Amino acid sequence: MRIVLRLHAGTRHLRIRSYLATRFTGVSRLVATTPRLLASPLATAIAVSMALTAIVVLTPRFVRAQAAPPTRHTVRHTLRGDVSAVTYAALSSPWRPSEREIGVLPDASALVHRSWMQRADVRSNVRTAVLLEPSVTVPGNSRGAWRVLDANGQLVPWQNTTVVLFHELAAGRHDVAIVWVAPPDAAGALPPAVRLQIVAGAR
Amino acid sequence: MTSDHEMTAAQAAVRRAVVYVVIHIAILAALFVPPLSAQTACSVGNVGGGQTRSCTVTLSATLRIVQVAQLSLSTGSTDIAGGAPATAQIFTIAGDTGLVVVGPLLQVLSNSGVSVTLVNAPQFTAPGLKLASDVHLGISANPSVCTGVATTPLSVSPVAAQQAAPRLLFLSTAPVNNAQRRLCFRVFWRFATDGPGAYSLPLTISVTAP
Repeated sequence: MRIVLRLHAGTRHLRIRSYLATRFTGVSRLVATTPRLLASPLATAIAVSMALTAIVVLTPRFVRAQAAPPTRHTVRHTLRGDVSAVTYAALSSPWRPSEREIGVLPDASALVHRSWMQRADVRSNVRTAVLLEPSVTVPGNSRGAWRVLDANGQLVPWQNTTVVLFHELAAGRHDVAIVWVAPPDAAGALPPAVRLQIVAGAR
Repeated sequence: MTSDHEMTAAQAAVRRAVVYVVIHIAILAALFVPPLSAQTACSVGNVGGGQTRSCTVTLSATLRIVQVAQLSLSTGSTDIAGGAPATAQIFTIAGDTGLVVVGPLLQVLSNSGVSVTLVNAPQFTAPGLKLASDVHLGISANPSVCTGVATTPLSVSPVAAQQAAPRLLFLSTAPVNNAQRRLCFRVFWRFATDGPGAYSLPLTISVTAP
């Protein structure tokens, strides 16, 4: 119940009004049915004052939270990695006949019995070119140089110059074939010592 | 009648005045009722002659213990590329089985039940697209061991979706006194997709109590 008190300090009248239209000089409808004692204005005033005192005394002076909210903290962590150009190349298979690879050449029939192949494992996170470095020594007692299938599909001598095997390989892992043709008299001779060169960032 | 009526009016006026004063006194008394409190000081005089006097002060202290939860990480960042520069060996290992990286040590203290959760960005800040699923995460109860720890990929869902159901790193229904867990990562680097540059993946780790 909401009670509105209107105090006129400078007047002789004190009016207490509630939403039930209580007048000071009268008796509120709420107390109209109470014993006759409360019908007295003095008794009413004393009762109201006691009620007010009780309300003020019993009202909590502050409010405490009954249920604390969950405690939450956050920290941040960062995974970092600095990556540069990474390249890797290795010959991954022994020499072996390469009839199939050499078959693409015009005069393959004459070369097939002298063709050999190696495989190379080339890995890079950038585009690369694969080069064959010049031979330091010509193996065996051959009268001619070993030839190798270059990036243009041509058999070129491999002795004193660098041979481009692949102009450009995309980033990733590649299993590539290096095809050789031995000189006519090289049967049984030692194969050449091969050194691959990887050029990162090929265009 | 007139006399009675005048007497009645006078009495009524007096009565109203009395009531007026009583109500005001009551209201003022109610508003200024001091709060009940214990006696916090007393004093005794020096009586001399070897006699002793004493007085007792009663002090009641109330301490409200709030919820306390603390989460700390041993480092703010972790290098996941095996040092700079990353080598082909790192890439080869990382591309096949993932590079095992020892992450930060996570420490939890709480005076109530507590949970620790993780939310991550769905992809790296990187030169190209690299998803967070290239990083697998495991939790080791042994702070010095990451080898053999089971790992599962980080989420590639948007952060908002992860926050609705974050990845649980640690959970305790009882108070925790300095629980330690090692975060272990298994990072996959791939030649084909991970070009040169700086890679960064932020993780947000939260502790909630209770």
